[in-house]
Amino acid sequence: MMLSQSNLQLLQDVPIFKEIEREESLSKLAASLEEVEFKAGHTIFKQGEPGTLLYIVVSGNIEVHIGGFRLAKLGPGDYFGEMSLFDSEPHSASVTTLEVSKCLVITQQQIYQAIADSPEVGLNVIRLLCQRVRQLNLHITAWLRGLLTVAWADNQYSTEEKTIIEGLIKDDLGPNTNIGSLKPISAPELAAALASNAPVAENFLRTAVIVALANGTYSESEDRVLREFSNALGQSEEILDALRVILISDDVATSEQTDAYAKALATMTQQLNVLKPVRNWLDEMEIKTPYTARFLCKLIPPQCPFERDIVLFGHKVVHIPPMCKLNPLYEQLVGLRFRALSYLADECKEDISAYI
Amino acid sequence: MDMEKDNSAPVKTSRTNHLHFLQQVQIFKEIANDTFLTQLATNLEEVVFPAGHTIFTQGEEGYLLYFLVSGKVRVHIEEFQLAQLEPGAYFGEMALFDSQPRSASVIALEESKCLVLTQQQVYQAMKESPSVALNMIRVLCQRVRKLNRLFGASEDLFYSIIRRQIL
Repeated sequence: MMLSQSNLQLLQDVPIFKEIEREESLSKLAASLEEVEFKAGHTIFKQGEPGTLLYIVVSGNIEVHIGGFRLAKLGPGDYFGEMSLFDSEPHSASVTTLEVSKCLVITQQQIYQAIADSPEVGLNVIRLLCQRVRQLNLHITAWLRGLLTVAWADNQYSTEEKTIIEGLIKDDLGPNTNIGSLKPISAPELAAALASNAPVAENFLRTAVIVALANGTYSESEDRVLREFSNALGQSEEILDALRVILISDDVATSEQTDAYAKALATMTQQLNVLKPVRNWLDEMEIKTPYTARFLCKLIPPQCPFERDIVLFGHKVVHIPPMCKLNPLYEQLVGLRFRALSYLADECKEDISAYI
Repeated sequence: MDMEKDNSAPVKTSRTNHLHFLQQVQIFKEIANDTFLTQLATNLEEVVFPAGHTIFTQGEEGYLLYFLVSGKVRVHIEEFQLAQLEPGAYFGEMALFDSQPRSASVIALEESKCLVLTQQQVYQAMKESPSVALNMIRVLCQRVRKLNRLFGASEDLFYSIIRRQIL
């Protein structure tokens, strides 16, 4: 009795069960719920597993993650597992306890009954999902526009890059999406969209640094954009300060200077270990969908390309040594490609000869 | 039903059509209580938008849910197109449910006929039949998953950038 009374109080504070007219239906639900305790470090469910339970956190601290990447941290009053409960699809992320945690467990049948008893429960769930859709829309467009702003910073936006980004968006948004209609984003706009989510903001900045380094140089204009973004997102400028060592003026120098620069960049990137988080991230990356696996196989070349010159606007801008010597992520990329191929061949039984 | 007796034949046909149409719409599938759907069909308003007409604009308030019966509409945020909808699709549900401003704009690409539901009608439908709410929840879950995948895809962009770095 005591337990169901405290359950009821907890439920009333959960957004799904707010403003319920018939309180007795909530009491009925509260009385029928089971409480489970998990020890610290316990994985409650894994991404890809089927799920039929909704969990409400009573006490403790719980992490929602994909591989090593944390999507959210949950505490008392938060809930998880609701998507698979309703649409019977596998879990889209994993959930692991950070300390000893207690949860109330609601079955599919119990939540269906609650919706039948009180239509407000259904409406609440719908409203919360609408909010999530809005938030995701905001995140995604801000993220893409942010990266494009960095890519455009020094007016070197290659057609190859454009094709790749368009391809990514088309797969999910339909055939008539035009990447050209995405506009650059200002730092305050970006912060408004991303800052509420620290891991996303941090991951954005890391990706943006790579975008800036991608053409082999780190220019003043790229540095300016990144600093604005970093400040607005409340991120540390440690990496950006380190990168200043390799900063070059926007007026591109002679070819001997850029040759020397490329060599210096290669050593410095390794010394500074700027890419260490990226390296770890690539190593921890789990390949869970054929979509990602195929994408990786197409993206990462099967063997080390030969050295070449990068020519822009008719001038040799930079000389790139063979990638295995220059690129500090070479081993990670090769490993990732191998895992993607294995996943397609073993798990999906796909013919991978096209990628070899 | 009681008004316009002389005109009852075409109206009746149209209402039967409405019912038939609603039964095909995803959020009204597998409804146990069929009389409620019949009742809903009789109360629906039909609107025709000419080609090029803006049905609603991002940022506006709005409490109507639209079902596309014929024609084609474009859902977009500023110039960025999110989707093109074909008959059987619906739009406007987000603002209707969460009472926030319209999250995107919708424009008719060709002459488009829509059935319109008010917020009150939708809430009533959910009260009468919990399956409507459950169907709606499932549709939204799918959308969240799709957006999550797209967000994942924007991380895949990362690889494309690394690739440029090494080529």
